[in-house]
Amino acid sequence: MPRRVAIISTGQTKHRAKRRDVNVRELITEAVTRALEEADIRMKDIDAVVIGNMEPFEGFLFPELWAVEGWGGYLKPSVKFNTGGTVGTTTAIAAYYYVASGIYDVVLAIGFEKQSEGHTQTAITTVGDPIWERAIMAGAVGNFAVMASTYIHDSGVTEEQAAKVAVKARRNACNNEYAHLQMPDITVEDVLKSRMLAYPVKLLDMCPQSDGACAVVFAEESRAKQLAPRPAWIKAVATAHEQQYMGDSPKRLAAMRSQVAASRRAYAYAGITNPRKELDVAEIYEVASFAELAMYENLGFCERGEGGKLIDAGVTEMTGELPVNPSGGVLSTNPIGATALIRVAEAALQVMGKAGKRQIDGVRTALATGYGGNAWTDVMILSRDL
Amino acid sequence: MDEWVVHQRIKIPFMYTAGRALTRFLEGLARGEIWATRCASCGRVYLPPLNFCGRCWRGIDRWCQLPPLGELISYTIIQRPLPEHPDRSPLILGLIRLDGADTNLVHLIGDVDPSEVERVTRVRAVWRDERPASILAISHFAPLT
Repeated sequence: MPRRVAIISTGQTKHRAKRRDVNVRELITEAVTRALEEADIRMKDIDAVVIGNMEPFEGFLFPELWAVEGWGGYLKPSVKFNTGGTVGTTTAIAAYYYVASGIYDVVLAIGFEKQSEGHTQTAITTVGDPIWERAIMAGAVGNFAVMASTYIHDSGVTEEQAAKVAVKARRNACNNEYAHLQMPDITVEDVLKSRMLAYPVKLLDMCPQSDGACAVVFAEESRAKQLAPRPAWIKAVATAHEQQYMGDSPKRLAAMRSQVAASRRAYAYAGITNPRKELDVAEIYEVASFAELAMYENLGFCERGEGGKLIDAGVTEMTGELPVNPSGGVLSTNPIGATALIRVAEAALQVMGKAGKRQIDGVRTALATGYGGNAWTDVMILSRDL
Repeated sequence: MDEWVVHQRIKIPFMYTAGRALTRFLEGLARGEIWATRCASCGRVYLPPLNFCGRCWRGIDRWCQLPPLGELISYTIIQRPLPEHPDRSPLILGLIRLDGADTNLVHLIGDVDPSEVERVTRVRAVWRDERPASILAISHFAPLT
């Protein structure tokens, strides 16, 4: 029987396109220091550390060794994860496993990326099958656009509906002091008129590349109650992966099998039968505006083909029935190795009532997701109730 | 059946931010100075400098200039340097503990025949005439005679 586990604190850096003021080690320290201060604990109180990063993006192997003085790993039990966009949720779920297993009581999870130092799109090219796909495909946008194009065809969502997601994200980000892209005056027309990258994906439909780090502290029940006035209890975790041939991609946005499988498994663990009613807020890994609409469907917030109507009805706005990404989401902030951990941190902040200007009133249950590679999904459900 | 392989070459440019502590270190090297930091808690002197002691988990703001002199702790002779190495063959890589430091630097050992390096105990930094803001502002370390 796993032990009960809660998130007791979080810390983030100021996420920016370029953090030239700090190196990777200093960037991580900024997030970790905030997380420890928030819980009023010291590094000696941390029993183990899990750390996540996509090292091909910055081009150094073992950054966790080079940066060890900056994240508290010195001679501590620790392990690194490197699972694509899901790095952050994989790291969070690993921290959960560590504590739930009874082996460690307090575990620090860290995610970081300094995208400005490498060339992410080129590194992502190595995701493709080396024999079959790399001769044709490169980067993330084109592959993603094929999926978005198919989604438009199958579901009838419009570019305007997707643009509304992009607007929501950048406006919500204005309430988040850590967010990278804050655009208070952005309009649907701005998104539609922004530079076409690959139909139907335009510049403002796409997530940015950011430098940033995030840290989250997990604790077992007695320590959590002692250290946090209102911990965010973890009710469910689930992961699902599937095959990676890009040629099998087109349907994946509209019916991402891994996302459907992982979310249904997590809902079952958490006893959730109607996610739209029973979740109070969601922080999802929406790599682009179109993805968020498809994810509404995959995550069961609405029926198949209804994603566009959900944004039209304002259901996922800050004032809606199920606000999605009050933080501004990935569309506003994307330091890849930290991005999914930020989803977890933001969901936890909502449950803990610490989300500041982006706080949704009365959050009891929150969803966080990660999306990696082409079709990896991680899901975590957090609750105010033990 | 033929065995097929697919050849690929992917070019990725990188660029690394020095950060707060190493910026000061690099600026010092360009002036011909070696600056380290000292943790006020454990007393450890970091070279290259850190502005945060991960062992004590506290910031470091004490700077100290070290002399360009130290001890050759260990070495090896690289008989076949890789393209990424400086183009000298054979190449002597030394582990150097500067006087006053608690950490070691890796640098080239020069002005000595590889067959003689075993006798070397004390070394000094040999600065380049044109000093870049880089560890290569020091050309190599030479035996102190």
